[in-house]
Formats: sequence, C-alpha cells, structure tokens
Amino acid sequence: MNEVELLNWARGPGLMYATIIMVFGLTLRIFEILSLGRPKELAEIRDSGVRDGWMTILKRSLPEPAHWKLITASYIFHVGLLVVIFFFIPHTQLFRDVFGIFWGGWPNYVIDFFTVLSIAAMLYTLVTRFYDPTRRILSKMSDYFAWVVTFLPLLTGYMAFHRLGMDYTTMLAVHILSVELLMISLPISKLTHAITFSMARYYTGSNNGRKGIHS
Amino acid sequence: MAVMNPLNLEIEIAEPKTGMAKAVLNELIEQLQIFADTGKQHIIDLTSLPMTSSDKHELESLLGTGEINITLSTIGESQINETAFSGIWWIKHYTPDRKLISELIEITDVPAIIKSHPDDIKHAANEIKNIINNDEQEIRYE
Amino acid sequence: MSNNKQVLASELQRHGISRRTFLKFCTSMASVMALSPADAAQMAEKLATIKRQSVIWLSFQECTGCTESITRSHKPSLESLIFDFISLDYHHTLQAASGSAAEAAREQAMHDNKGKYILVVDGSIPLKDGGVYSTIAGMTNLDMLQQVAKDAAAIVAVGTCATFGGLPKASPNPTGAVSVSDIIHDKPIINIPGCPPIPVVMTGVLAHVLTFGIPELDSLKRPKAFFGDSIHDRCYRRPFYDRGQFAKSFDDAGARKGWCLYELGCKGPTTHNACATVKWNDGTSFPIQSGHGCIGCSEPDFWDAGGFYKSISTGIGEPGQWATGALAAGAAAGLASAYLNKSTKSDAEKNHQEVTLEDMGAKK
Repeated sequence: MNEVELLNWARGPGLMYATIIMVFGLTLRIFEILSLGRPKELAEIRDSGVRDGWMTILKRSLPEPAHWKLITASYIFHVGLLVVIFFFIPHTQLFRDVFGIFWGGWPNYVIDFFTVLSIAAMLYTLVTRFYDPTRRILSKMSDYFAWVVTFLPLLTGYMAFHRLGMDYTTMLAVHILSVELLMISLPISKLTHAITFSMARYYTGSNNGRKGIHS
Repeated sequence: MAVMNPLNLEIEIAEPKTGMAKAVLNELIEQLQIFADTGKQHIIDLTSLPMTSSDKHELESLLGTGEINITLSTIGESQINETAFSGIWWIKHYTPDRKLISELIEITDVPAIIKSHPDDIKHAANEIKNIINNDEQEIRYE
Repeated sequence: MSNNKQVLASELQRHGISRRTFLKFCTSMASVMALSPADAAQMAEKLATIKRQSVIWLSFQECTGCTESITRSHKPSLESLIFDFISLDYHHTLQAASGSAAEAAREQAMHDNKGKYILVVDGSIPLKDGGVYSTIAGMTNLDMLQQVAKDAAAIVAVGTCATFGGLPKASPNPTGAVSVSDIIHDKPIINIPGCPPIPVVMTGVLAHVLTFGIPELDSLKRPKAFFGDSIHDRCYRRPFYDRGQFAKSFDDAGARKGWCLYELGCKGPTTHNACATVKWNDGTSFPIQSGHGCIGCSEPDFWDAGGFYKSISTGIGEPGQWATGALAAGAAAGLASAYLNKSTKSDAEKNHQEVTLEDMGAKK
C-alpha cells in the first residue's frame, strides 16, 4: 500500500467506520443514560432542583483559584481544540460536505497560533499529571489513553501543515487516521464527556438540590 | 461596446505580486558578497521559481539595465544583459519561434556561455590553416 | 567543405548545432531537472560523445494522449533535440511500417541491442480473462511486455496508466488493469506519471538516462527532480492559501483575483508534478493558472480519490449518509436498551420487598 492508497483509505472506508462507530456509540450512550432516569427518591423532595442543576453546570465551568494554572491550561486547550476543529478552513470543508452548512474559516496563522497554544497547554497538563502526587495516584491508563488520542490529531495536523516529519500525503493520511482513532474513542472512553459533561453536571446538581443541598 | 458586454464584466488577468522579487534580491545581495570574497559564481534559475509575471516585472525593473547587451545567434536567440548592478547578469534563452525556454540570473564577471571554448579555439586555428591551404591550391590551379 | 566536422561531435555537426546552442539546450534541460549549472556543462560533454540509444515504445491500454504529448515537444525547439539522441526503433503509432513488418522491426531492435535498449511503455496491462482485452499482433499485452522487458536495460513507464494503472484501473476495473511495476520486478523502472505527462519531463528523463543514468527516484519510482515537490508547494497562488483567501466558486470575486482554489477541490497539496514550474504548452500556463484546480492526474488512483471539485479534506463517499444511518441505528439500539433498562427497573420494583422490623428480629 503506497501513501496515496493509505490516504484514500483514510478518507474513504476509514472515515466511514469511524463515523458509524462514533455516531452509533454516542447516540446509544445518550439513550442509555437518559433511560436510566433517577432512582426513586424515598425521602421528601425539598426542591425542584432545576436551579441547582444549572448552577452546577456554571460553577464547575468556572476556574478554581486553587488550581488556576491547571484550569487555565485546560481552558486553553479546550478552546484551542474547538477553534482548530471548527475554524481551520480544510476542516470547514469537511463539515460543509457532511452537514451542508459553512460558517466561514479563520486564516491559517490564527489556527496555527491556537494549535501551538493547545499543544503547549496539553503538554503542561501531562507534566503536572506526572509531578503532582495526588493526580499521579488518581491517574489510570484510561486517562493517559484519553490524553494521547486527543493529542495525536493536534500534533499530526501541525506536522502535516508545516510539512514536518513525513511527506505531506503520508502525514495527512496519518492525521486523518489519528482523528478517526479519536472519533472511535469518543463513545468508549472518558472522552464521552465532550457531549455528556453538561448532562452529568445538571444531574448531580439537581439531585443534590432535590435533597436540599443547594449549589 | 456596451452591447458586446451587457453585464459589464471586469476581466482581470490575475497575476498579483507575491513578494518573490524581494526574496530574490536578498539572495542576490548574499551571493554578490560571496562572489566578491571567494570568486564563487552563482546562478538563480528563474524558470523554476514560483514567480508570477508581476513578480518578474518587478524584479526586472528593480535590477534595471546596464551597459552590456549581448545577443547570441544560436538555434533560437539568447539575450544576455548585464543589469544596472555589476556582476548581475540576466540571461534569457529563446527557441527559434521566440518561446522563452530558460531564464537565469547569473552572478559572475562574464557568463560562461559567452566565452569561447578552448577546444573551439584550437579548431579555429586549424580551420584558418585549411583556408590558407585551400587558397594556395586554388592559386596553383590558376 | 564540412568545416564543422572538426568542431563538434558527429551527431551534432550533422544537425549544424553549435557548442553554445548545445550548452543552451543542456541549460534548459538542467533547469527543468533542477540540476546545477555545473551539471549542465557535464551533460553537454556526455551527450556529445554517446551513441544513439535504441528505444522501443510499447503502447497498451491507453488513449495515445501520452504519445500526443511527447510529440508536442517534437517541433523546432531545443527539447526536440532529444530525438536526435535516440533511435525510436518501434512505436506502432508513429512508425511508418505496419503489420508484420512493424513486429519484425521490434524483434530486430531487440536482437541488435540485446540488454542495452530502453523500453518505454504507455498504457496499463489488462490481466482479467487471460488478458484478452488488449492484444497487439495476436499477442496479449502481458506477453509482449514480459518478452520485451526481458532484455531491456531499463524501463520507462510513461503516463498514469503505465505507472499506476490509471483510468482503466479505476473502480470497478473491468479489465483487471495493472501497472508495469505490478508485473516487472527485476528491471530498473522509472515512472513518469501524468495524464498525460509533461513533454519536457519525458524528454528530460530520457536525457538524464542517456547522460547520468537512472535519476534519483522517490518511493513511487518517480524522478525526484520533477516529482519531488507538490503542485501546492510550487504554486504561485500559495500565499493566498496561507492567508486564508479562497475562491468559493469559479466566477466569484476571489476567483477573479486569483485566490487559492483549495475549496473548489484543487488536489495540489497531495499531487507531485512539475506543472507549476515547467508548465504546459511551452511554458504558457498550467491548470491552476487558467483558474481550475489540479485534479491530481499524476497520483495513483486519482480517479477514485473523491470528486474533482471536492476538497481533499473531505471524505471519499457519503459521510452524511453514514452518519444519518448510524444515528438511526444508534437511536434504535438506544430505545431497545432503554426498554431493557425499564423492565429491569420495574422487575426490581416488583420484586422489592419491604424489610420490616420483624424481619430484623424485633419482638412485637
């Protein structure tokens, strides 16, 4: 298999498998979670919990002064990822092809800036994971897996754009394959939080609220 | 003309400047210095650079024309001009039907293609001898 | 009197080519081959001393576009000089002889130059159903290729069909077409892809083979001098790509300003060829300069690499349909799972027994 065949495989069958697994998996996940419902509340319900649910979504998204460095790094790479994924012009072409809508892209140097920033921020989160004893003990293989599959598309995308490492065609194929790995990982790892984070926070907050513990 | 062009379309030949001319100038500065110091010649092959026609015009007007213009009458002409700057020569090779096939900037004192080849010079002497011999033979026959 | 005889090598003086003309030819050749000017002079010396090289040209499943292309360099131009350095002993489109006389010429050339001739091939080779889909003089393309390749010094595969299978190999490949490299493994092969290849690239590679031998090749056996850079890397519209200025349609303001054609499906970034520098029709233009994106014709499977007008960052196929299908299937599986969860829950509730104080051993 030469590099062109690899690229064509990544853009064709590879993308098909990844899309199907990701969409199927995430849809199944959401149905499963929603259908579980709440456990029967045996005690008297004190509050609707709606306000607490929303407050928890908000509060847990706010920076915590005690860990401001880590939170800032996390913010940077989350925002960076969103910008890079949704506003790099070649990416917008893919979304336009799939969804039929185009929301405009940003110049390459802007995307480049966010990519470098995100890579740096992600490296920082990895380093602190090693050096902070609490976080090191708490970290499992699945955490490192989640980090790797998120980091690879950023790194390979950067390398492909700047013609680093390998021939562009090969690098582009590797980049697309790494994205497909990320897509497949979404429903089967902690990365599902990309779509469930607000649901989970709302659930926790409103549950506590119903018990009378206000956020 | 309004009838011919009812939509009033603006037709533009899109070959904008890309900044290539300035990049070539920087290379020339560097290579002139090297040639002055070490005598090492340098050739920039303009044919293989991604230059637009506007870039090329920009570079040509920046370098200007110097005192020497040489035309080679080979199969297809060649134009060899020294630019306004000593040591920078602009060379254009054409096919017999005036198509430009290669365009070079040479940093040297005299471009190699102008110089007579040592082998040709040797042969030239022999040829002149032949002419003299032929002439003598013709005289004898007369 | 033939004064020139003493001045230049016999092949050159026969054509009245001066040393400067010759050097000029080599300069332009070296230029397109990205060789240094020193190599140009060396090339001139070598070409002056060689014997005419025997070339056998075989055409298989092809459209004659490659031959059309190379003969476009055969006009009063310096590139055409290459035809003075080769002896085209067999080429069934160009040669005067036909039928058994043509085949005899091929066998004669093979016999006389055994182990020394260069074999040029254009067109792919059909393997399905015993190779019946293309035959010459009753011989299948496969048999002829193997027979002629056996005693060739080197093989030059010309055009995307001979190099990668090309259009005949496009899905569903009805004739079972393959490339020369798929069949011949024991000979040096140079691939010159393109549909068709640039004329001067073909003559340039031949000039290189005659003077310096087989040029440096990439992983797909393409000469790096011509196929080392992508169209995108050498494109004069590259600065617009970097600035994010893209034509959105073929007739919008951006297109008129010469902006990048990436969004209109240009395959420049993944296509390796010399179009952006050498250009076409004697250096007049190339597709992107004419306002159309590169279709990637010199890459393997270019016909099956998605549409010509879809960006290379899009999927090949129908990602929207896959996603919709997966969404429906996911929803169905989700509902089934929800039903299971619900019945598990209601079973649990049904079987739920309240624990009374008596159960725990308390006395009434």
